[in-house]
Amino acid sequence: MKINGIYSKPGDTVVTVTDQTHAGDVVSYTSEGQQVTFVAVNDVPKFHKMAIEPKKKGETVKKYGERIGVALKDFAPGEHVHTHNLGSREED
Amino acid sequence: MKFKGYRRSDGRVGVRNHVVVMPGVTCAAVAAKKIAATVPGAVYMHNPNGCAQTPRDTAITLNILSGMIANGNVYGALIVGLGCETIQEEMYVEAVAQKTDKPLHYIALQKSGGLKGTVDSGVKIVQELIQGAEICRRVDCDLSDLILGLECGGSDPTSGFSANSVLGAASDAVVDSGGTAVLTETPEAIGAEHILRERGATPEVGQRIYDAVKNNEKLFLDLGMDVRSANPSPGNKASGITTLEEKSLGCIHKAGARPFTESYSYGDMIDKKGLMFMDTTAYDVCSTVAKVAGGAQVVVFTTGMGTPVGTAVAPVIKMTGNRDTYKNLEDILDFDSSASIYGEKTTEELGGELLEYILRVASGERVKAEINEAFDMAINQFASYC
Repeated sequence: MKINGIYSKPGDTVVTVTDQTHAGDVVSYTSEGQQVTFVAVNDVPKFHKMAIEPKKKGETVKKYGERIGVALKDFAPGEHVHTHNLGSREED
Repeated sequence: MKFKGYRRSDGRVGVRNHVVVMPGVTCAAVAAKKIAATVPGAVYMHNPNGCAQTPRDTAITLNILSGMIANGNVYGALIVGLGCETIQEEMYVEAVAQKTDKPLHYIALQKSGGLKGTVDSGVKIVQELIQGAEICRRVDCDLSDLILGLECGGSDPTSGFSANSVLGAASDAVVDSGGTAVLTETPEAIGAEHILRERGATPEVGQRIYDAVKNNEKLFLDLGMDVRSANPSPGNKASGITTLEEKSLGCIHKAGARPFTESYSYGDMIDKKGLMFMDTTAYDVCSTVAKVAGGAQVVVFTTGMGTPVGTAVAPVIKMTGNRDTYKNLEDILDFDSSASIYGEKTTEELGGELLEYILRVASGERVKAEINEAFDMAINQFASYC
């Protein structure tokens, strides 16, 4: 299956899609040699992030193996992750 | 690995052989521009300041401008002042003399018979400088003679994954060969300062970098302002970068994986070898200029969305990991690293190709910013003009 997601480091809770992705599309990426697939829950623009782990409001979101912010609301794997549900601080 | 560069009498190495014409104050820019435009081979370098600044900002302006002139890429310079401005002739002469012994001339418009008299005098001086520059020949130089500036701007998510990582691989190769690379843009280390602290060659250097990042955010908070309200930019966000931490973690990939040898203040001359940090603003032009003032002869500038920025003194190589951007904006971009996004080439392979290209540019190949004459200039300041 075509690889259309970038998983950068162990611990990441999001992947970056390399194509314009629509709800229902399969996103496939490689994690430590294994191919993993998720179904996009909603549209994810090219090079935007998609959750691969469920997050509760206030929980840490990771990319590059590091904290990039906290969930501003609950979200599920396959959901688009951007300014509507991710911020530097919980009060953002 | 070698390149063909110019060895200067002050010990520095250049990759260009510029004769620079610079206004001593913006008010005299019209004369400096006319002089540079009259003499083939001369290059006009803008100066946005020169007057009506606090002593602290005047010192910063002088440090940057004297650093630009002292850069190895410059053979010699003419400063065209107005006459009544804050930064007087002797201040320029002294600031430049502290850094280099290269030819420097100064004329003031108010003492040179107006615009025509100033241009006539300036043209004669610049013609003589060009004759001196033409005697210089390129000779074999080593990677250890190179100071490589690491810059990013107009970033998108491909910047962290591709362009910055590929530049990081090239930076590591330069450092491993005894050369120098310099990371700047302090606000774009916010969220990644803990990683930079661990990468200090000594705990003290790591702590100084960490403190620079923490102090940067505090400086603005103390003034009631939030750096994060301006960064990431609207374009960064539209492209998919959500938070400043995410942007910063992508940014620092430019600095590869080597330890930081030293941490410098804004625009200070880089006097050591290895990987360096310099405390600068995230404003691309300001930050690029600071590295060149610090001695960088070549800057590699990564971008996601594209930018034409360049400097009058140093070639600024523009690279992107976004294939669409490269195709759409090829007349302002030099290097496409997007093959690493699609698994067609590894970061290391592309880093090797980038290094070869950097050496070609160092040996004289012109980059798009030079062809386009994108000679931008900005200098950071703390207070407004007074």
